[in-house]
Amino acid sequence: MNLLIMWRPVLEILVLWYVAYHLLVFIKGTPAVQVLRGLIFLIIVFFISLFIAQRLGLTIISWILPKLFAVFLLSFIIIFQPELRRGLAQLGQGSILGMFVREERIIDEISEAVFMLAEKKIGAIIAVEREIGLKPYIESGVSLDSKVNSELINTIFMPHSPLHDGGIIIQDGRIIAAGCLFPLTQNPRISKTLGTRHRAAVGLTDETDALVVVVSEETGHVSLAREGRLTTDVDRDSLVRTLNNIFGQPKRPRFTLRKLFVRKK
Amino acid sequence: MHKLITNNFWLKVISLILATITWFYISGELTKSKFNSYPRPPAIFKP
Repeated sequence: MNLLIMWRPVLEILVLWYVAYHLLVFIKGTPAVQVLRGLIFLIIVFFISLFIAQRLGLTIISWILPKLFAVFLLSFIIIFQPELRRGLAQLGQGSILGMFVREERIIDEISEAVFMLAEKKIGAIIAVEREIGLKPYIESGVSLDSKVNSELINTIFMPHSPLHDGGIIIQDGRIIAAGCLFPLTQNPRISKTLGTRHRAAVGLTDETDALVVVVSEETGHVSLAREGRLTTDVDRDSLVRTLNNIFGQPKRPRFTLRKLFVRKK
Repeated sequence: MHKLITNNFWLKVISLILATITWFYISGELTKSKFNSYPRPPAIFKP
């Protein structure tokens, strides 16, 4: 009986928790975090003042404070205007059409960059994040957060460029970091003739579900690493097809409680 | 399962605290407003 009475509050708290968590994840790492800290401080001050005012019987102050709080909530919308705009834009991008247009462009840019590099025999390693977050590897490199652009990818991997030694990571359709270090595979079945770049590509796919594209510096061949396996000498069509499969797959194919809370971060 | 808990652990804790506080605050406010909206008993109540 008690359980029957309790399910509504529990459900409501769970819904509130879900919304609050995703809001926090959304603003994490943005300048809005500093503003949020200030806001939380003000909210705490507000509740303490209200409590004291009510205890001391200060009716006018007790009346004014909640009204001020309402105005304050309005200012919240103004202060977080850039974040709200970004959130709405992301929602817009999440639409069926926006998603396909964006992904097609990303695939084109990646394949163009990869084959330009292959032609010039410039070594490169590009990791595309999927379900499992690549945060530890992102932190090992230099944060970029830029649009996927073939010219930019080319510039990063140019010899003598400060970032050309590591790999780049693409997260949610953006180049999130460059110069990232990936773990080398310990798989004994991997050919001894493969260089460090290929070993790092396989190493990353051993530990995560990322897709890694490698351009060999020696041969100019393009290879694809996925789920701990390496496919060498990939042509443009197969690369585009594989990337299409990756991007075309729904990121969350089925609903599980685990996936509600596990995120990139 | 381990990742479910450890990934963004503090964000989960903070958001749970925020959600619980919000629920109790709003629930209290609603109870208060419901109580205030009841018809007041007459000044002299005769059973």
